[in-house]
Amino acid sequence: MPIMIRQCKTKAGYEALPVDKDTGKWDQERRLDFKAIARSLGTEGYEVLDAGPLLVVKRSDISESTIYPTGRLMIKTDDEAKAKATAERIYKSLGLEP
Amino acid sequence: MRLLGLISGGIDSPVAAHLMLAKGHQLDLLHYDNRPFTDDKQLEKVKALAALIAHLVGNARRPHLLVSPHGKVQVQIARGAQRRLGCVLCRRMMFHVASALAERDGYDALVTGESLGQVASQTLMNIRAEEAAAKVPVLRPLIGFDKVEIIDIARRIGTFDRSIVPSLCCTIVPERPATRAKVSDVLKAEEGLDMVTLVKMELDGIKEVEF
Repeated sequence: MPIMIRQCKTKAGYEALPVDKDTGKWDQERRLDFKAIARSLGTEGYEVLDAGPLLVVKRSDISESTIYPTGRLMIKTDDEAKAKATAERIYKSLGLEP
Repeated sequence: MRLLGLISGGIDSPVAAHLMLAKGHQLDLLHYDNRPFTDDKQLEKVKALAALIAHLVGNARRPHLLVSPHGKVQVQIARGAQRRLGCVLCRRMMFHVASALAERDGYDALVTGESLGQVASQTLMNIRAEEAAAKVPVLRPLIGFDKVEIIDIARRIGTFDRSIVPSLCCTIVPERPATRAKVSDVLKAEEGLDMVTLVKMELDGIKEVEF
């Protein structure tokens, strides 16, 4: 699944969206199972804060990120390469690999 | 008067604080630290803004900068209340906590940078629903100003360039925040939260920060 990366409007972070490889569209109806994800990310060494409608995840090899139910990520870095690497690692852990 | 100015790191709240300081009032600053739903740059901005504001009034009336840990409370609001009321409940919590601090430490009123209609949370109905949580007067020196007027003052006092330094927006904002919140609805929503514990937890966590 390709990843669309774009700078957020404040230019202080990056937004990542998992898009369909054929249509290039982001499935806004997707609803990730946060309970299951929080458990599985925990076993992969992520520190996970379950804030209800979103998850905040940290790990030493990624920038701190927020995961929304649709799979959208908000990544706390102003470095595009770091944002891309973070998105790839998180999506891999979520089973939404490019 | 001894005032408590709520400061966010944006353009408006430093201007509001400055205007009240310029009137000769004593004013301290209270910032709500929203991490992990914002980034570390926000607090750095607030410290820099506090220094600029302090520079304008001199050492005798140098404000203290207090920082309130707001992130944990945001989690409880997001988990326990209707999602679209999140921003209104967040701001009500700010007023609950600031009021408790004012009563504990002897502040006469709160000062905010609100002006009508600038963002979703600043409709008249939302302002009413939010300020109903305050137990001390809320002063809004910018309420009738438009953005151009506020920016003019911010440029004049030197805070504008610092306020526009990029920092992450709040990531826990709902997709469709309420713009016409009713007091009865937010009071009902707060019944589902342990407000006494949440306010005490945040109040007890307030720390003064050097800048």
